[in-house]
Amino acid sequence: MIVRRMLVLSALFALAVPLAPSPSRAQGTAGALKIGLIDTISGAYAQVGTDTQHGAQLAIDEINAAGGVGGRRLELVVKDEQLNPTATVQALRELQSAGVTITMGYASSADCLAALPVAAQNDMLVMGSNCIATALTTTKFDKHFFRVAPSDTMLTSAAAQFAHEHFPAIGTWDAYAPDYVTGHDDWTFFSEKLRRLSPGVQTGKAVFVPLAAQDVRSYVTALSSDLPADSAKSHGLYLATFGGATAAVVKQGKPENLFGKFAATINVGGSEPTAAQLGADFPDAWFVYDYYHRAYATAMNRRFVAAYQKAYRDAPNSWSYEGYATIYALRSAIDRAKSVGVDQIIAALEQAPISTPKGVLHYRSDHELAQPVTVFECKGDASAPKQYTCPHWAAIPADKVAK
Amino acid sequence: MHNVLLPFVGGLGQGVLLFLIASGLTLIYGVMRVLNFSHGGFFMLGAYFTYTLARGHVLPAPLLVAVVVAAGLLTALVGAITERGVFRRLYSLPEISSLLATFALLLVFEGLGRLVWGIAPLSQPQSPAFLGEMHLGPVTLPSYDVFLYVVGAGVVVGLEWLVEKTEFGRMVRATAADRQMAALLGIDVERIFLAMFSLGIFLAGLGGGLVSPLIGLTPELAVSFIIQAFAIVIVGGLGSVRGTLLAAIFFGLLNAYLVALRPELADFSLYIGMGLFLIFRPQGIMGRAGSPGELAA
Amino acid sequence: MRMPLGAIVAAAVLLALTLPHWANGAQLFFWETVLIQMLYALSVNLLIGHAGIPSFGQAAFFGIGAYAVGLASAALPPIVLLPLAMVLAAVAALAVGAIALRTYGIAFAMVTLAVGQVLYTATLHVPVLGGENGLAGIDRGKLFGIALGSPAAFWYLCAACVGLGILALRTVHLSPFGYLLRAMRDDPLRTRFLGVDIRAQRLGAFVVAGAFGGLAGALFAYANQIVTPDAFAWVRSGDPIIMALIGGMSTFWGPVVGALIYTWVTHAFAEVTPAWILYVGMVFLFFVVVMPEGLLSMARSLRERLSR
Repeated sequence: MIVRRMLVLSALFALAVPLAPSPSRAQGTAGALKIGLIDTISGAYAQVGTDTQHGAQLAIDEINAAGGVGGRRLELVVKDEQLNPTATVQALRELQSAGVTITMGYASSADCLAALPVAAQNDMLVMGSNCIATALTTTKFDKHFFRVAPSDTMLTSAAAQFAHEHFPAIGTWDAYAPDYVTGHDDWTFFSEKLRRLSPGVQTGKAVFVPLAAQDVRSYVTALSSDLPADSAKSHGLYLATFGGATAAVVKQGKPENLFGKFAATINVGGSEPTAAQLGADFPDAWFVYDYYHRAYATAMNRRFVAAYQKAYRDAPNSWSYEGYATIYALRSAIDRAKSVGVDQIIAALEQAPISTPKGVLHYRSDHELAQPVTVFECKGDASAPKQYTCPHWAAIPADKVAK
Repeated sequence: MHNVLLPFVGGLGQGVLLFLIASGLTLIYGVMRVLNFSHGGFFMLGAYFTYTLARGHVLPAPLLVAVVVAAGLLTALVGAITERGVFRRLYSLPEISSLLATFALLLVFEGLGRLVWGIAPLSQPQSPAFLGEMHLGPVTLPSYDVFLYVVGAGVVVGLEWLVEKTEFGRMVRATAADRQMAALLGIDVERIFLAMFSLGIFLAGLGGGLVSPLIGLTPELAVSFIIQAFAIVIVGGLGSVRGTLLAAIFFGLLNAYLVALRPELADFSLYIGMGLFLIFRPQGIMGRAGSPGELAA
Repeated sequence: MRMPLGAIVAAAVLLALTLPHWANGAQLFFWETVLIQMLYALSVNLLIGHAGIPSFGQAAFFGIGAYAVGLASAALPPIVLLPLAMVLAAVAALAVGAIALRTYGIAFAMVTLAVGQVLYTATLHVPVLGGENGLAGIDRGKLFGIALGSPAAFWYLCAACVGLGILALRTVHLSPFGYLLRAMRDDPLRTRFLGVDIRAQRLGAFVVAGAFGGLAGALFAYANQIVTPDAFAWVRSGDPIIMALIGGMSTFWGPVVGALIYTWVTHAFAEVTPAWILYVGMVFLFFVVVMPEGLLSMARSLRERLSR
């Protein structure tokens, strides 16, 4: 009996020890400075994390080829956050246990929010490469968080600015937006800013669609059924969906020529991969997002685009850019701080000029990167090699998108 | 068009699509008593097979229809292999174990979809002929909806004929009623199971193929319709094709009218509708009351 | 059943007491997740495995517990909030059960699923609940003057709560009420003829399970320091069923073993490949096909066969 108890006891311990997640994976080249990339590389938004990783790895390869940062090589440690806060916290704690203090990535805002308490308790740096919730730099501000992507306030603000400047003839804007709190809030913000800029402009019908809905034909009908006959001249569409929700409305709106019923479509939060997915089906729409590779004429951007083309045989998109820019932002700060201590890097990020392909930028006191937002027009074109083209683009300057 | 009719047309189209997705689910349950969670996985395969066979090109309508049917058959082939490899082991298990097994299969298909078709979402374009509209008196119908009505009606009539009017259908009904007795009477139960499972999976694949021109393709499609499909077959009365059709149209119409009239409630329509309905009629539209479970409740 | 239960429990307590001394923060967090899942799976198995009530909406009560903490963590300490979360979840379970238990079988499963999904959808829309980003920055507060921000302190709180929860559920399991539930599962008609008010007993089980589901959700919110609408999603109702099935639904300890296997398998594959879902699915499939009754039931029947 006693023997059996001993056996069971030791079996339990034997089980328990290897079952605990081991942090040893993170150990690599001696002396290398490790940067943790926590991003979604599986599931529906796997492309976000994968492209961010591509951009970050490219930047790291360039920096290492030029001698590293302060004589140290950089090394990326990739963790899958699975769009799941528990997985995010687990990944962050694993990095912390392995001595990694600098992290980046975070596809969703919930994951950035989940990372913050752990980062604050353990003095770690969270570089929000992809997450856009405004709360991260306002109500949930924490000094350990620096955003690389523009916030949703900045994106929506840029959309209103662009609508005002570029489409003065449009008298009414209608909305097709995701049906959750931010979807409603952003539309309200857009309407208010647009009315402030152009007092005569009206907001029309707002249709909010569940993000998970696949059959959206009823929502399409609800949006188009009340449009006046001349809507193709007088109405603009504020489209705030992304990914699968955009694919559904584009494809299911086609029979009734939904997008042809609007003088212009502005897609806040959408970007090139959606045009690539839909190809010739993609309507004429203006994306409002972080980056478009032809929109910036800096030398650094030219180098980035060429190197990215060479490495991955495709132009970089916003996520690739965000991965790349995050690494260069870190380098700017570490160079200035002459230290890899988190507090020193934080102080340097607050002060240092940040070199990115968009130009030399600065962090604001709320740790929002004062940066332009990119607006670019893409449309399906069956005769183009990629089945779509993006003929026009503009950068809405930082001071126009701040509020 | 009148504003009262507009949601009716949209809701009907939505309902028929839901029916096509869910019909195979109820068919398989009716014969084999397996609640097949992996149905969504086969649905996803049907959509991707359509894309792969069409190579993502715009096809003329007849060719697209042929491709969708071929995708359904390919899916059925995968289904038949799965039946031989996995499902046969499940028929004797408790319902909850087979539910988990089919859920595990769903995850396997989702993972395979990711490996085969990559991380970027894909899109199968619609045929130009299906992008038009048809006018019937005061009603304007999207031509693809009309096509779906025809397919839906064909599926209902075809299944009814197969099960009610043919010799094969008699064997299926006998097997469904009492598989031991059917086997004793000389019916090859295993072959009936294989045939009906493949047929149910063919319908899943067909549904996926028919949906593919309407939505973007990601492996997560496997789960995106599955809860709706379950709700519909259970409200319809598990095992009843007609009940599934009625439930699908009911939920399609409910959603469409709520989107038009009370949009803030539309997102809840399926769950509230299902919950209320099942509280008052737990056996579903076409189900029979009086099971032992009810007597004890 | 001849399990050296006392020895295993003693070992588990020893392990729990010493863990912060030899495990790092990542390992502690992993084991916190495992413990919470164990409690949650046990609460579900009380319904499905023992009472024969096929609930597919336990996430409703998990979510209520989690959101209670998310909303009130700044105002109330855990010593108040944890029991409060349980009470709220129990009250909700009472209300849901009183209506849903009019149905049975698969219809009951779908009605409970509907409740969970309605709450899930509602959280996306309600600004007070933080919408799709949920409630972040949950304050763990203090217990007896000790700040729970430190991983070790929180580990002890979590382990103690889960330990007490398991003890309570074990007590229920071995009580006359527990035996009655299993009798109702095995032969509802005969139990009814014995004069038992079946619906009232089932409602009792539903409330107890809801309360411990709520406790699991509350601990989950404290551990993650964030709660998102996913706490209410149907997957969250399905996961504990998978855990219970893997471990063995007819046993008391099955869900505990199943939760460990489930959490570890998922984590281990996600560490090595983005296609983890494929391998996780294959492992689950293997479990059901090879051990349809679950690991512990299989072990039990093996032992019985050997000792015969």
